[in-house]
Amino acid sequence: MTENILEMRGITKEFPGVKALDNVNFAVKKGSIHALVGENGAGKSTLMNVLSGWYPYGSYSGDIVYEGEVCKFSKIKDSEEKGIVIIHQELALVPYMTIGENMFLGNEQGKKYAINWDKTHAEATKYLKIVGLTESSKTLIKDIGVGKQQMVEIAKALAKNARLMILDEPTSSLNEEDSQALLDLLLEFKKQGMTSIIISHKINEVSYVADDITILRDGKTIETLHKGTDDISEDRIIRGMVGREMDDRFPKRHDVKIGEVALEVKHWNVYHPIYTEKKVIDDVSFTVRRGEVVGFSGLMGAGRTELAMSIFGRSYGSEISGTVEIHGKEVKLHSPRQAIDAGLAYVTEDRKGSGLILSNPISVNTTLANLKGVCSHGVINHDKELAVAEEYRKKLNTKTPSVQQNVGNLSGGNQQKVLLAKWMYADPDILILDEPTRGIDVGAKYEIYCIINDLVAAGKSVIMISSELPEVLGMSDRIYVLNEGRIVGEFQAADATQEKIMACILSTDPAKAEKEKEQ
Amino acid sequence: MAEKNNHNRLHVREPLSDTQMLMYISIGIFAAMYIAAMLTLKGGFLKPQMIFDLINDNAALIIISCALTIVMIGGGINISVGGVIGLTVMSCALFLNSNADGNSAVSILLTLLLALGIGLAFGVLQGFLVSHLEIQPFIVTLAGMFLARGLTTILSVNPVKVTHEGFLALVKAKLKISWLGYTAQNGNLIPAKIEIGAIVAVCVVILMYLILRYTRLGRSIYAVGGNRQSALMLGINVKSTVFWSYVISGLLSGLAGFVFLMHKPAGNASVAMRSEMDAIASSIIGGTLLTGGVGNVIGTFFGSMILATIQKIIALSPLNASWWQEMANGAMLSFFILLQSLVLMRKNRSRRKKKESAAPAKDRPKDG
Amino acid sequence: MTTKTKILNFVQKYTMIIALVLVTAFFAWRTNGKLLLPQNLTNIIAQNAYVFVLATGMLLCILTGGNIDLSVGSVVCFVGTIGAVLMRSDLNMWLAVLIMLVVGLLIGAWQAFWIAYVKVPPFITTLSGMMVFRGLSNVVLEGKTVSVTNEKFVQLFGGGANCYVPDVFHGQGINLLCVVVGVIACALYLFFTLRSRAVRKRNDLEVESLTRTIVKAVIIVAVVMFFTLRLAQYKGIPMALLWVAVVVLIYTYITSKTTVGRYLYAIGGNEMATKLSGIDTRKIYFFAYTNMGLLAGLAGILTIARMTSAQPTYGQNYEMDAIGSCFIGGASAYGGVGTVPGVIIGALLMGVINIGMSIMGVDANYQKVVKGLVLLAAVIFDVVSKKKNR
Repeated sequence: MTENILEMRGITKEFPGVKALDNVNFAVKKGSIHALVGENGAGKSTLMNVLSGWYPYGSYSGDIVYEGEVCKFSKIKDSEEKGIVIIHQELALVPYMTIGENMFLGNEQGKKYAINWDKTHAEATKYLKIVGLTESSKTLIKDIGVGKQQMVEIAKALAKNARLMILDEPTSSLNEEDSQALLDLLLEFKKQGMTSIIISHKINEVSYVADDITILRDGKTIETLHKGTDDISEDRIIRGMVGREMDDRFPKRHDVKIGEVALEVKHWNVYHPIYTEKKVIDDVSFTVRRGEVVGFSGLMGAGRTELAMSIFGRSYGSEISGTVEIHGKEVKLHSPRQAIDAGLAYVTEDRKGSGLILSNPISVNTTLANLKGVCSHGVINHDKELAVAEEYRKKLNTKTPSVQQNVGNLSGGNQQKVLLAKWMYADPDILILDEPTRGIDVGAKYEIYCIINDLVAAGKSVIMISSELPEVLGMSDRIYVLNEGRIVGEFQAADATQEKIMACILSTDPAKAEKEKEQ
Repeated sequence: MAEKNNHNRLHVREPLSDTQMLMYISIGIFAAMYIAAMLTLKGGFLKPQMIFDLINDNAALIIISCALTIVMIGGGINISVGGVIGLTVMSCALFLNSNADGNSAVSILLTLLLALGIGLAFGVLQGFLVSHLEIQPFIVTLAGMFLARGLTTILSVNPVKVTHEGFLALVKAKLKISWLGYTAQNGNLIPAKIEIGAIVAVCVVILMYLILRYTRLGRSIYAVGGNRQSALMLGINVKSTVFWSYVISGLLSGLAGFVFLMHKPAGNASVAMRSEMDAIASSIIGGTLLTGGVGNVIGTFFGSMILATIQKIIALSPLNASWWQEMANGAMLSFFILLQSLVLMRKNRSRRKKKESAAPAKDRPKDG
Repeated sequence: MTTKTKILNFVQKYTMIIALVLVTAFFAWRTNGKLLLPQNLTNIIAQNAYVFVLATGMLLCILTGGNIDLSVGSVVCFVGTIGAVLMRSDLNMWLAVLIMLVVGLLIGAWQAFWIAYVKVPPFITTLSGMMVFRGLSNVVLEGKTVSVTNEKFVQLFGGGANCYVPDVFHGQGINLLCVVVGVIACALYLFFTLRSRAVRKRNDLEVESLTRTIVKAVIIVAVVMFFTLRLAQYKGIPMALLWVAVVVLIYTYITSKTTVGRYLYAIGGNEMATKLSGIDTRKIYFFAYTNMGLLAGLAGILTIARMTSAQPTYGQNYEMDAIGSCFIGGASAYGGVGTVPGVIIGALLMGVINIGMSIMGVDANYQKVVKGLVLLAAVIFDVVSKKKNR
C-alpha cells in the first residue's frame, strides 16, 4: 500500500515513579484509519499527547517522523501547523461561546489583527455542513447536545486543515445513533484521503472502521493487526489487550461468612449535574451482603463513580430517583452526613482532588469524617486525635516519620492508607472503595488488599470499583459490570474470567450482554 | 481523564447568567430610568445636553470600567485603577506646572506620554506578577493600590492646580453641536457641549469592543476566563494572554488619569478614591461575570451610565444629598445580582421542564 | 538533616517573627530607642486595635478559600454611627453596646446568607455591602459628625486620655497591676506548656526536645515581661489591649481547638473532600461571614470610642488594612493556611513600621508605599517558597 504518513520510533515517556510508555513503535499508513486499543492506563492517551506536542519535545525520548521528516513539537500549535489535530476525550469547548467562535478559537479567521466574523461564520457553516450539522454557527455551545458538540470538535479539526486527525474516545459520551454517524463520517473522510487515528474501548466500532489496529499494554506495543491479513475479530483483539496471566497477587480470604443483605439499591436513576438532559445512571439495582466484596467493573465513564457518589448523600448528579435500603430499612440520604450516619463510606478515586487535604497533617485528615470521636462539646482533644491517628498508622502500616507530617509529603500508597484510615475511623458498615489501588506500587497494593480482607472479616461490606480486571477478579465475591450507566452483567467470582467480563463491557448491545449473563 | 474532568466541574460554581441577556437588561434599565427621570424630574433631563453631561462627567469612570471589564473577562480583577488615576493626575499636574513656559503642544504631548507611561508601568508589573508568578490578582493589585496612593501623596500632599495655559485651553475646548442645543430663557441659543474626554471615552469603548471581538487576543481573553484548561488545550498562550489583559488595563488607567485631569485640572491626594469599586460595579451591572469568560464593554458602558444617571437623579431630586449616591450604587449592584440569580433560576427550570417532556420519547426506541 | 536545611526550615517557620524582630530592631536603632518607649508601645496597640480585631475576623473568611470581606470598613462606620446616635439620645450605654454588636451580627448574617446559601461570590456581596453601609452611615449622620460624650463608654473602649485599666494595687510611679498581669500571664503560659508536655509524654506521643521548649519559654517570658514592664512605666494596660487580648485569645482557641475552626481550615484546604466527609460547608461559610460582622461591630465600638465621635468617613480602607495584615501574617491567598497569632504578628509589623517611621519623622505618606511593598514582598515570598517546596 502507500507509504507511512507517521512513524513513532522508540518512544519512552516517564512520569515520576511510572514508565507510562516503554519503547513504543507505532506507524500509520497514509489515508488509513488506525485504531489504538488497550486497557485503561495502557498508555494510549499518553502516546497521543506526545504526538500532539502536549508533552513537549525533550520530555520524552524517541523520534516522531511525520511525512518523512523528524518533528520536534514543543507545543500544540507546532503539530497543528503540520496538520496533526487531536480531539480530546473531554471536549475543549467554551460553553458560553457560539459554535463559530469555538471552531476558530486560536485559529481566528481574517487578517492579522482583525477577525472577520462574516468569514468566520461562513467558514463555520461550511464545515458544519461537511459533518452533517444543520445548526446555525451562532448557536451557543452549551445549548447543543453532547453528540453535536463532538461533531463541532471534528468540524473544528477540519477547519484547521487537519491531515492527520486523532480522536481520543470520540464515542464515549455518544448514544448509538450519534456514534454510528460519527464512524460513517470517518469512513467518508478516508475516501477523501484523510488519515485518522482513533482511540477506542469499543472493539466493535474498532473492527468496523479500522484498517490497522495497534494494541498497547502496560506502556508497550504488543502487536499491530491488519485488516485483511490478520484476524481482527473482537475475541482476537480482547486476547491481545488482556494477555496477562493471573498470579497470586491477591491474598486469600479465609472463612469469611457472607451474611444477610446489607445494602440494596433499587431503580437508581441519575442525571448529569450540568447537562441535565443527559442520563448518567439508568435504572440500576444491586445488592451487597454482609462480609462480601462486590466488584464493579466497567470502562472509564461507564458511570461507576457517578453511581457511588450519587448514592453517597447525592454528592453527584441531579434529579436522582430510586431507593436505598440499608439492613432492610429504606433510608433517605440527602447529604454526605446522612450517608455517613447511616453507615456508608465513600473512599474516593480522586485522592488529591476530593479525598485528602494535602496541606494538612495525617492526624487532621484521619479524623475529618468523624471529628466527634475526638472532641467534646465542639472542642477538639488534640492528644486523643494524635492517638487515634497513631493507632491507624500502626494498624494500616502507613510509612511516615510522624502523624503530624503533611499528607502531601507521602507517597501515593501511603496517602491511600490515610484515606482508608479516615473512613475506617468513621466506622461504617458498608465501604465503597473507588479505584483503591490506582497509582500505587505493587507492594502497597497487596497491603490494601489485606486491609480489604480484614474489613470483610470484621463483618463489613465492601464495594470495590476498579478498572483493573485482574484486581476485580482476584478480590471480589461477586462482580457487576457497568456500561453507559446501566448494569450489563453480573457474575459470581467463580464463573468470571477476564475475557467474559471484557466481552460484556465491550458489547454495546445490552440485549447481548443479557444473554451472556444467562449463559 | 473524563471522570476527573467531571469532578472538576463539581467544584465550579454555576455561572449566574447568560451571555447577552444581562447586557440587554442593563441597557433596558438605563433607558427606563432615563425616561422615568424625564417624566418626573423634567428640567435638564429633557435636553440632549444631559446625555453628554453624563459622559463628560464620567469619562474617566467609563475608561477604567472598560479596563476592569477586560481583566474580569479574563478571570482576574484589578483594584489599583483608582490609585493609578490618582497618581497619574498628580504627576501630570506637577509636570505641566513645571513646564508652564515651554512649547505648549509639546509639553501636553509629553504629559500624555507620562500618563500612559505610568499606566503601562503598573500594567506590566502587575501583569507579570499575576501571569508569571501566579499570585492572586486581588493581592497584587491591592498592593498596587497602596503603592499608587502612597506615591501620590509623596508627590504632593496639597492639592495642585494646573496653571499651564495650553492645557487649560484644552480643558475648555469643547465640541459644540448647535442643533442639539436649546434656547435659554434670555433667548440665546446654547449649543450642546461635548468635552474631549468624553470623545476619548467613547473611542475607548469602541476600540475595546473591537479588540475583544475582532482580535485573537480578545478571543483568547474570553477563552482563558471561560475555561482555562481548554484554552491550554487549544494551544492558547494563557500566561501572555493574562499578561496583556493587565497591560491594557494599566494603559487605560493611565489614559483615564489624563482624561480626569482634562475634566478637573487639579491634582489631589484623594482623586478618584474608591472609583475602582464603581468601575467593578459598572462591569457587573453591564453583565460581566466575576468568574470570567462573559462580558462586553458595551454593557459596561451602560453600567457606568446607570451609575451616572443615579447620581444625576439624586443630585436633581429633593434628596439633594451626595451621600445617597453610594447607597444607591450598592443597592443597584445588589439588585442586579438578584436579577442575575432569578434569570438563571427561571432558565434552568424551563430547561428542566423541556427535558422532562422529552426524556420518555428518547427512551422509547431503545426499549422497543 | 544538614545544618543548612535546618536553618532554612527554621527561617521558613518563623519568617514573620524574624521579620518583626528585625524591623523592630531597625527602628529601635534608627530612633535611638524611642520606639521602645512606653508611650510608643502603648500607641502601637491603641492605634491599631481595630486592625487586630478586623484582621482576626478576616482570617476566618480567608481561611475558607481566600475569600474576603470588603464591607468591614463600612460596617465599622455604620455600627459606630448607630452607636453615636443612640448615645446622643441618652440611651443606656450597655444597651447601646449590645445594639451595636447585634447590628454588626445581623449585617454579617445578611451577607453570609447570600454568600453561603445563594452562592453569590463574596467579592460582589461584600462590595455592595461596602457601598450600601457607607451610604447608610451618611444618611443617618446627614454627612455630619456626631460626638460621643459618654465618658464611661469612651474610657471602657480605649478612647480619651484615661483609657487604661485602673491600677487596683495603687503602685507608686509604676503600674503594679500591669506587672502582676504580666507575671500571671507568664506563669499560665509555663503551666500549660509543661502540663501538655507531661500529658503527651505519658500518652507516648512525640514531644519537642526539652532545650527547645526551654528556649522558647525563656524568649516568650522575656518578651512578655519586657512589654508589661514598659507599659507599667507609663500608664498601665490600655483598655484597647484588653479588648484585643480577649478577641485574640477567643479566636486562637476557636481556630485551633474547636471543630468549627477545623472545618474552616478543611474547606480552604479541599472543599470537595470536606463536603464528602459529611460536613455542611454552607454552615461554615455562614459562620465565617456572620462572625466577621460581629467583629466589625466590635471594631466600630472601639473606633468611635477612640475618636470620641462618629463620622461618615470613618473606617475607610480598614478592610484593606485587615486583608493586608492577614496576608503579611502568613495566611494563604488560596485558603486553608494561616493562624490568629500569625495575623497578629502581621498587624504588629505594620503597626511598628507606621509608628517607627512617624517617630523618625519620615513623611507619613511613605507609609502607604511601604505598606504596599511589604504586602507584595510577603506574598511573593509565600508563593516562591511554596513553589520551591513543590
